[in-house]
Amino acid sequence: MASVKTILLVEDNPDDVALTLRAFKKNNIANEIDVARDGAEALDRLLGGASGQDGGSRPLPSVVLLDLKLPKVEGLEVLRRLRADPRTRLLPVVILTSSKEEQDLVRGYALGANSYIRKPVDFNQFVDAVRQLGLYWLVLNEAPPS
Amino acid sequence: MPDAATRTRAPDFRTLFESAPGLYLVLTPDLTIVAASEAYLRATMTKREAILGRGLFDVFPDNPDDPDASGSRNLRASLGAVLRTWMPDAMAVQKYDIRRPESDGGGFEERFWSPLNSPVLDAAGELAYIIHRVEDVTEFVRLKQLGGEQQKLTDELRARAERMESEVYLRAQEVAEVNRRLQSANAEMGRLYEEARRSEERFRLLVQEVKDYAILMLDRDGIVVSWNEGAERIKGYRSEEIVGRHFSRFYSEEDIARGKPADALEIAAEEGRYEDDGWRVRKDGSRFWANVVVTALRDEKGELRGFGKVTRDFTERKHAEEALAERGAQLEAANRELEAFAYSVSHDLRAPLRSIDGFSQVLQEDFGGQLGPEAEDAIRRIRAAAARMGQLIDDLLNLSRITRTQLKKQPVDLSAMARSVASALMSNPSERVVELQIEDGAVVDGDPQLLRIVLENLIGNAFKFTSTRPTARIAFGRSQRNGGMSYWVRDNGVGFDMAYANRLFGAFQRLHASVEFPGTGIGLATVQRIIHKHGGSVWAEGALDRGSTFGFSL
Repeated sequence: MASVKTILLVEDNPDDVALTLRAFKKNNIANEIDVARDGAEALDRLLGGASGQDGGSRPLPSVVLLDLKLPKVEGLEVLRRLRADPRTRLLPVVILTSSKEEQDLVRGYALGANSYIRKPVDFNQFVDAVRQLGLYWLVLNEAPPS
Repeated sequence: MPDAATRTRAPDFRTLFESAPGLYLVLTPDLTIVAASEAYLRATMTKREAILGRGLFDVFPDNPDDPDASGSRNLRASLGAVLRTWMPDAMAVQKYDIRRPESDGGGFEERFWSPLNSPVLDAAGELAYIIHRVEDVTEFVRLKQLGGEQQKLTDELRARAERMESEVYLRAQEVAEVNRRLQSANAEMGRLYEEARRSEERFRLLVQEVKDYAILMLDRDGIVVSWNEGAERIKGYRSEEIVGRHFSRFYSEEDIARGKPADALEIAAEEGRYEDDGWRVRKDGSRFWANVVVTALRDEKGELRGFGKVTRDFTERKHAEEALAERGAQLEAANRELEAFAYSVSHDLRAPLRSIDGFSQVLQEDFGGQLGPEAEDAIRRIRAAAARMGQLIDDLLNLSRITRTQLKKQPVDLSAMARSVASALMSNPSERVVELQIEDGAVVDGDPQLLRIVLENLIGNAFKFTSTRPTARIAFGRSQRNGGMSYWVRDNGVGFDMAYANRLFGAFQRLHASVEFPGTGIGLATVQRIIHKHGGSVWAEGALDRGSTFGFSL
């Protein structure tokens, strides 16, 4: 399958969305970036919602960048449901969040997060983090067989 | 004849002694005769040359024909006493039979003598001689015996009467003695009895008057047999209202239905002791929280006699405990709230900062050319402020995390930790010259993660505040302070004015401008919080421009 590798960004803060997109652009990562504005939307996108509309029919992204504090369904719950579903059980999920509270780290990894990245306040550092993130998950990492 | 002068100077003691009118014999301590007066020789019908140098008892043996002869034995005893005690010893009148010279027909002549043996001590104070002086009372005794023959009968009668009298007297004495002993034994018995009675009385009074404890005795079936003031105070019954009743009335109906009173006695009888905390009922029906100890009472044979029951009213303590538990729950809730707050701060407060910083940069990057140098400067300041705010939030979160986390204590080698912290700081590329001195062997009991934060802050500060010195000198060590071991970090940096020492450990307190030495003012507050969490204390000493020492005890 030669489809273009896509990214799903789950982020409710439009500023963070804009800055993240800018950071990808600055790093010349031209892959399609899909944005879900809350946890429910993310689950809809990946597993198909209760409405059943276009859920599950679209190909899965190469990586999900998941914020933790989200409206409707919070990030860790999104992760739990993804890991509970055979279709998304192996889907790479990177937690990208503001907090580095120990409880978030522990629960994130316990639920099967592949990575945990804390968004730096300094935009330059953030850009650098996004660069490494893109390089790793879109280039270096071999995706699990679908 | 010597002249008068010679006589005065040296009297002839020998002649004087030998001519003395008394009967004298001089003996050495081994009872050899060494001198005798003429009078003695005459009285004993002996010649001086025949007795000198001979043993006393050689010369004067007992009369072998007289079975009652006891003279020699008595004399020997008396001489023995003198030899032992070096004191004169007067002997009773003795009958000695004196051997008659063969020229006078031989045999023994009966003599009564009253002898006195006196010791003679030499210049060194040693016993040198014994003078045996004798008074011949033979004539006197004979005269007495002659006169005595006629009175013999009456004397004998009188003697018998006297003997009987003395016998009676002796018996009476014995009886009196036995009586005396009996009396004293009686008195002793009385005293012991009284003592026992008093001690029992004291004990009874003690139990009786104890007011803080209900002390009561139960018989084997649980019937109350004794009652003290404490019991009256705690349970409300007067002694006459409760003695003779079953103790189960102190229990609630539910407890009685569950058989709790019977269980208490059964367990106490089996195990010797039963203890329980629970609600009990007073006479007026009100409840009190009781601590109850029931003890089985057994006699010497191990037979169960009853039970001692001690009850304390812990109602107030119970209320206090409940209040404490409630307070604990409130605290826990507050802690949870704090945690939620910190969590939210961690997530929500940082996001706007990212926007501020990020979009400032966007401005700079996308419109840099259209902005003047003043706008560029403003953007730089905005970004610096955002960065600083981010740092503050992180430090505050760390501080609150310390409050929220549990201590995990274990032995920690502070010396090794200080070395590792310092070498991490040294590895930062810089032109600086830092002399490091770390005392070995400072091992304490504490939380290694938290103590590392302490050392990172203290040693980090030392590095920071010596940055203006050509050679920074930083030392870690320990010493006795206020009766305990203190651990400290000392530097030769800019120091501080002791007038502000008490502000050093407060959050956000800074004694230097940020431009001079960067920092959020939370480091020492964090140090203090960690040390307090360990039950220790922090201190600081310094002088402006003369370095500082920050220390702590655990």
